[in-house]
Amino acid sequence: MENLQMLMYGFTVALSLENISAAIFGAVLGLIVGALPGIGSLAGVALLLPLTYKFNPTTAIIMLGSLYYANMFGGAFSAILINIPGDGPAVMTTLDGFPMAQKGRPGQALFTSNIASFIGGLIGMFIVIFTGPSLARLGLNFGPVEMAALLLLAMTSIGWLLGENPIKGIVTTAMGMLIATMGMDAVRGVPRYYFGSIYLMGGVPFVPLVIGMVGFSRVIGLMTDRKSAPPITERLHYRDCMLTAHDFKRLLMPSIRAGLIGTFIGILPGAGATTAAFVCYAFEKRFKSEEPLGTGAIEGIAACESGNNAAAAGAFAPLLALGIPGSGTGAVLLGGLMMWGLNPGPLLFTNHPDFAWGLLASLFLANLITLAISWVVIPILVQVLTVPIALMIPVIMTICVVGSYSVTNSMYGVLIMFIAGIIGYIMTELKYPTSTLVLAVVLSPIFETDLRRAFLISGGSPAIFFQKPISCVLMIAFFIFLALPIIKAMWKRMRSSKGGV
Amino acid sequence: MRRLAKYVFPVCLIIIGIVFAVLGVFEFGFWDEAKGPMGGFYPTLVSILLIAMSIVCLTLARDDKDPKFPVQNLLVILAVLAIFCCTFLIGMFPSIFLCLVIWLRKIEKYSWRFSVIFALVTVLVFYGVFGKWLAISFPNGLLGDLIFG
Repeated sequence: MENLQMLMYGFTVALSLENISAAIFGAVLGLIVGALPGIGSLAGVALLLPLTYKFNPTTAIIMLGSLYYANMFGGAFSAILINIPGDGPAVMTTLDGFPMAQKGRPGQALFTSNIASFIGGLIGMFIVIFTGPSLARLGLNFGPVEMAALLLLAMTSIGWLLGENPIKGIVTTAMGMLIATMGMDAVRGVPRYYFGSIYLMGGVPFVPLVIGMVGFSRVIGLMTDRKSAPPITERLHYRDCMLTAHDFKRLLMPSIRAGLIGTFIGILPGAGATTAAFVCYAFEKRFKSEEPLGTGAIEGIAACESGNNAAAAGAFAPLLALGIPGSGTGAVLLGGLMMWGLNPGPLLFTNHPDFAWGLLASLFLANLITLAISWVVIPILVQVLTVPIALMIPVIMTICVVGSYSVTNSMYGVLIMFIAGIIGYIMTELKYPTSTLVLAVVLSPIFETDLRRAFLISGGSPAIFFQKPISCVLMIAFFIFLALPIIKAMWKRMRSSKGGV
Repeated sequence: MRRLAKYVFPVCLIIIGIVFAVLGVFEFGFWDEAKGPMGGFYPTLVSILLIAMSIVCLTLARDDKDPKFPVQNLLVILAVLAIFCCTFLIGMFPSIFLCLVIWLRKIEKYSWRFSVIFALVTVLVFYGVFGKWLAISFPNGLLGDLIFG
C-alpha cells in the first residue's frame, strides 16, 4: 500500500508540464532512433545524452528513461518491415514480424508489437514498484564486502552472458575497469595513470567514451552496409494497423506470460532485454498457437516484444535500488544519473523520493505516451525507414563530433570519442563486446572503493568475502561465472581437435 | 596484416596489462601495512585478470574468423580526423559543413544542390540545438578568431 501511495506522489512529480514534455520528447526521439536500423538503444541513448544537460536531473532522467523505453518499441519497426532488427532485443521479432509483413499484414504486425510492448512494460512497471523498494531495503544491509561481491558478480555475469565468446566479455570488462582507474584515485584523492597529461588527471570523460565506443564505432561499421539496405516503398495507413478482437485475444496471453518472465529476467543483474526476448520466445514455443511460430504468428511477435519491454522495465529495480544496471544502456543511464550528482543505491528511495518515484511514475506515463505516439506515427516512422544509410552515416558521424565536444567544451572530448570509436570498431570486428566495457567503466569506481574498504576491514585477507553468508553466496556464483566460459572454451577446443584427428 | 589483428589485439592488451601492473606496484603502491590497499592495488589485480584472459584469447585466436576491416570504412575515420584538424583552422561548424558537402557529393554521388542544402540544414539544426538551446560555445578556429576577434 505504501508503495502505491509513493507512486501517487511520484505522479505529482511526473505530471508537471516540463516532465511530460520531456517524456514526449524522449518517446519521439526513442521511436525514431529505435526504428533506424543498426543504431540500437545503447548508441541512441549515448548520442542523445548531451541533449539532457538543459534539464534538471529529474526531468533529464525522465527523458532518458522514456527514450530508452521508446527505443524498445521502435526497434521492432525495421525488424518487421525490412527484416533488419533496430536493436538486439528486436532480433527475435524478425522471426515472426517479417513473415507476417510478407503475408500482407505489416500494419497489424507493427500494432501487435506496440500493444505487446505496452502490456509487457505495464507488468514490468507494476512488479518494479513492489520489488524496487524491497531490494533497496535489502541493500541497506549491504556493507562494502557484500557490495563488492555483488558488483563483481554483476560485471562478470554480464561479460558471460554477452557475445559468442564469454572470455572476450571478461577481457573487455577488465579493459573498462582499467580505463576507470585513470585519473583521480577516489579513495586517496591523488592522481594516477595520467601519463603526464593534465586532461587525463580528471579521468577519461564518460560521455565521449560511450559515444565513441558504441556510436562512432557503429558508424564506421555501417559503411559496409550502406548500399545493402532494401528500400521501403509501401505506405501504411491507420486502417491497415487495426487488430480484430480475435487478433487481440491471440496476443493477450503470450504478452502476459512474457511480461512476467521478462520482468524477472530484467531484474537479474546482467540479463537484459535481449536475453528476455530470446527466453520468452523459446518459452512461447511450448504453447499452442494458431499458426506455427516463425511463420508470421501474432503469438511470436507478442512474446518477444512483451518480454523485452518487461525486461527493460524490470532492469530499473536493480538500477535504482542497488545501483547495478542490467545492460549497457542501463549503464549509460546510471552514468547520466551520477553526472547529475545522484547516486543510485539503497538510499535513493529514502534521500531522493521525488526523483525515484517520479522516475517510476514517469515510466508508466512513457509507456502510455509511447503506445499512443507509436500508433500515431506509424505512417511517419515507416517513412523514416526509407532514409538511406548513405545519408545517415555523415549525419550520425557529425552528431558524434558535436555531442562529444558539447559535454567537455573542449576538443579533448572529440579526441577521446575518436580514439574510443576506432578501438570500439576494432573490438566489434574481432567480436569483443563493447557494452561490457561501458558497464565496467561505470561500475568500476564504486567497486574499487568497496573492495578497498573490504580489504582494509579484513587487514588484507580475502577470506572476509566468504565469512558473511550473502557475500559467500555471491562469490561462489562469481567463481562459477568466471570458470564456466574457460571450461566451455577448453572443452570446445578439445572436441574440435579430436574431431580433426 | 588484417589476419594478424586477432593476434595483435590480445598482445596489445597483455602489454597494457603489464604497464598498468608495473606502475600499480612500483609507482602507486600495492599495499601499506598501516594504510591498507594503496592506489595501485585494484589496477594491479585487474591487470592480472586482463593479462590472464588475454593470454587465453591469444591461444584461442587461431579458431576465430579473420576480421575484414574493409578499406571503405576508413573513410569515416578520415572524415572525422579532417573535421578535427579543420576545426582549429576554420572552426567546428564550417568544418562540418564542408565535410558533409564533400562526403555527399564525392562519396555518395548526390548532386551539388542537394549536398549543399542538406549540409546547410544539418549544420543549422546542430547550431540551433547545441549552440543556441544548450548555449555551448563552439571553437571558431584561427580564421574565425581573426574575423570575429
